[in-house]
Amino acid sequence: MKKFLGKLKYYGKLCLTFFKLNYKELEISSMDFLFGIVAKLLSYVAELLALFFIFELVPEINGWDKYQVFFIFGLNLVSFSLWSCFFINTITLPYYIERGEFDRFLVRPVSPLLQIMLDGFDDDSWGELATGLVVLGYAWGKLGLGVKVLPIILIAAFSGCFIYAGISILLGTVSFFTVAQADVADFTMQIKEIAKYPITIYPKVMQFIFTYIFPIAFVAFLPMWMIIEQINIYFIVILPVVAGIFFLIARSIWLRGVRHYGSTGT
Amino acid sequence: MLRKNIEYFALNTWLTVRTRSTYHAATILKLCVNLFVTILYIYLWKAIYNGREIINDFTLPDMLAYVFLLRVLRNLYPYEVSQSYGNLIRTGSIATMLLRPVRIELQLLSAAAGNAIYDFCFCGLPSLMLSCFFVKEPLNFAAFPIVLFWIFSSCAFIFLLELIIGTLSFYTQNLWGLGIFKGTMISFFSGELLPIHFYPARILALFQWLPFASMYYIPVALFLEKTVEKLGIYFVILWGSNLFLLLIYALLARRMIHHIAVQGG
Repeated sequence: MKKFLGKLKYYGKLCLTFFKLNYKELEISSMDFLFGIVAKLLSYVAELLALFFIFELVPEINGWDKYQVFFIFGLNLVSFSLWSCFFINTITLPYYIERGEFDRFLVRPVSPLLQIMLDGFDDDSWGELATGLVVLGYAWGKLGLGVKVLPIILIAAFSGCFIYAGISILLGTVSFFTVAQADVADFTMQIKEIAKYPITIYPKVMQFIFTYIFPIAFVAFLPMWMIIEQINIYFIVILPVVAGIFFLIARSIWLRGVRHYGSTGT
Repeated sequence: MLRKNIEYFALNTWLTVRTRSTYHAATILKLCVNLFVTILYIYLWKAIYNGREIINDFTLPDMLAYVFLLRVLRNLYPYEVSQSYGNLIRTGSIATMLLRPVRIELQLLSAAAGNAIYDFCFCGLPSLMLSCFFVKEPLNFAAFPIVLFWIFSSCAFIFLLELIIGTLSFYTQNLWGLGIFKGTMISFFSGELLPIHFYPARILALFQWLPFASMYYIPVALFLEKTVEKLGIYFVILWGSNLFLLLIYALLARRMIHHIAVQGG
């Protein structure tokens, strides 16, 4: 127990130090940082407006009404922003490999994956999180779901964060084999776009992929479905179980990728 | 001088294509991701139409053609120029670029042309080929010359806009925030996020006075033989914007070059 607490303290200190370093880096370009926060908020407002305009023309998408789609959009955004706060740097792996900077993570006595995570927090994602919560709250109120769904939302949000982390780590692993330049970041962002709509709009093959291979159906769609179908609350345990298993599989594949890594030099 | 510039342009364009295609696995991955994303958008629009024959003057086949053409056009526009410019400033490599006997704008333009060729070959062309399975109605290829001219004009618009944003990083030191802002504005106003004919009439009237509509909406509408009212106004606005941006850039570039502070490199 003492050893565990010691490790916890050590990693806590490490996180704090990296956080301070990242913050100082942001201070160099504070104007751009502030601009980025406003721009990100605007981008989500634009996305929401686009959804509003669509629902002005059609009453539902594949049987899902406006507020149900907004609920999925909000929950997906909350999970994504949580991932963005802590794991976003995992999509930068191709650039580290390309520039030969990955080597420095290998010679330090801390897990390379943790170092990459800590090397760049997305400090502006709190704005994204706030937007997601506002949209989720709005849809929640309009759907009249009540407080009983709160545990589902909380568990789904954190499980979704780990599913996104698993996806970004898994896609990052590709860079060990392609030697960088693979547009992993873009694909991860596209997956977020997929998850903001009900999975049932896609063909069966893709529904299978999004449920069993990249389980993004578990991020927002299935929690919404559980709420609508009033599935027994104990079934929500499936969300963290799937997220945990997927994250561990992704991590083990990532470790295999590290063993395959050959430095590109600088 | 002109001949040397043309030679440099051709050489650097070719070099960029070669550099981008060095990593074969990454190229294949990019191709697959692009096709995958295109297919997803197709199914999204199929779900939105869901048996409806027409929404705001666009049928489902029109909409599917719009999605495919948008994917092609998106890969042609030089969206990465500001980021490259910003990176040069941030890393200090701008000093080396300025010392070369070729204007920095030409260096960036040739790289952008190389990227456009690469992206067209590995993303745009496969999307067009895929469209044969989904879009049964033939496109109006008679409009191809005018569409090509329109695309060229829009490329010039985006390139100048990107140069201006890139130069601003002399002040902001970073382009991350500005890049997101630019992306949001372009995708909202150009019809990339949602085709502009889906917007309410009042907003649509405003869009007519902005050059962004010429990027996707006008070329696609011409290809689909849609009636575009006041095409001349769109043309004047686009080229007026190009001249205005050129003027702004000339002023900014002259001022910024004195503002340069190389941070290592």
